[in-house]
Amino acid sequence: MSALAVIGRVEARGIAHRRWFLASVLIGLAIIIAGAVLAGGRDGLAALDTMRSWTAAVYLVGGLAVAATLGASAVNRDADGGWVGMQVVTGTPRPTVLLARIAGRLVMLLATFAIWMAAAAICSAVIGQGGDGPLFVHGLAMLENMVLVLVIAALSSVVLGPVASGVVAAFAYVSFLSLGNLMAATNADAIGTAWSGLITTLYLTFPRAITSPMLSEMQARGAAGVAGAQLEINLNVVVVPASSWLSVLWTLAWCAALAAIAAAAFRRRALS
Amino acid sequence: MAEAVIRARAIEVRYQRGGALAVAGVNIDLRAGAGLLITGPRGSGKSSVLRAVLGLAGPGGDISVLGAPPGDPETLRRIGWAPQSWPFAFGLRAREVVEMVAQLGGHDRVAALGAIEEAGVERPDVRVERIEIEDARRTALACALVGEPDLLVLDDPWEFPETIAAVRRAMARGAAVLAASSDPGGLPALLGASIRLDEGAPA
Repeated sequence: MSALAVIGRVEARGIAHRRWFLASVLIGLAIIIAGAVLAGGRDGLAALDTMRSWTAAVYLVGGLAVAATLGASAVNRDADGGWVGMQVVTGTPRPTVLLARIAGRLVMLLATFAIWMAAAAICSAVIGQGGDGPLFVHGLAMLENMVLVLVIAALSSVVLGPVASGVVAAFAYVSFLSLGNLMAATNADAIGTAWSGLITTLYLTFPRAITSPMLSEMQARGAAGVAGAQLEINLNVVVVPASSWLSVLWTLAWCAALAAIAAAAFRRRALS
Repeated sequence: MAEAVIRARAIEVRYQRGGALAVAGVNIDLRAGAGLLITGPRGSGKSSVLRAVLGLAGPGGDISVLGAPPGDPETLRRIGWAPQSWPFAFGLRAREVVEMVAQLGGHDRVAALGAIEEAGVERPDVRVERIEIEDARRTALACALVGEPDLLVLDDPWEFPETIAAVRRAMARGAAVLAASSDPGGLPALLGASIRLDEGAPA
């Protein structure tokens, strides 16, 4: 087994036994089930919206908490405590150690979303909404967003403490989300042209928060709840369109680039 | 004459660029089959010297470890490292920690179990956050013993009978042992040579 797989597996196994992680997964599950119970007492579109908005809230708030916490623990505390140093002194190259630690955390993020998405599909089926393909696609979109959050937090954790790393990652995600909203407003001529050049440049350069077709449609109707409040700029309701495949690939490329930057930065980091 | 395992001149450790030196002017000569203890009060730079030798903390000075610069991955495979305190990630069993070190070093599970037994780990199947500090120190020792390394580096080793026996066995088969402790007890006699540090420099 390669060093990447050994360290990744050990990290994933350790995280799987942490209380905060288990509690986060279970709380998310409980909210999805509660949303399904509430949706089960309603009819038609109201039932569908309730199920979807509660689940989308879990993906956003719960996903953000899990991803930021996982990423923020990639280096700092374990590096100062001696655990990362033990992995390095086995002769495993430093970049491999860091990428493996990120990979182990990505596996646990994937497992978290797999559990939530499976629960949402089962709950939808039970209340008569079928497997709900659009909600599944939204889960995949949010998973990609949270991968971005995790990698940013991991990069930050090379130099910052765990709390600061998590805050930086969450702040970065909100910034990319806002940039997407501003781009949509620019395309809808809802803001002045003086800003459009800057907004377009920033949007084309930085990672993009991925918006699913389901969320775009619900947000436009003002039915997405916590996951996406209706966007109103200069008294105009702005519809944030679903992300293109190009945006999906662009953000994935950014994730890979940020992980590579983290690995490079980790080369010179002092370890205990 | 036995092979030089560590030859270091004017070791310097600085944790931040432009920051104060944590260690300066330390020289080490350690040969195969020999031992060296670094002593001194807490915060005197003992652990920093070990980290410099391992390439964990950006070392300055002229340092050669097993014929290579510190931190060389191939050389690190020949070193057994036991960090101080409680260096493990929570959620893992002590046995899993030692097995990880064995796997990464290219050794099999038998080597890990042998090291666990040699170090006297009492509860290898208990998660590390639930074990006693004594077992944590034994687990760290077990990690260092995996695969019979050519150089043992022990930070604040506790003087269990197993520690003393393991150090004697290592030196008898030609391995070098570098240890650091603020409470050396019987380690100076066991290792044969010592350096005392005070505020990052030889006292």
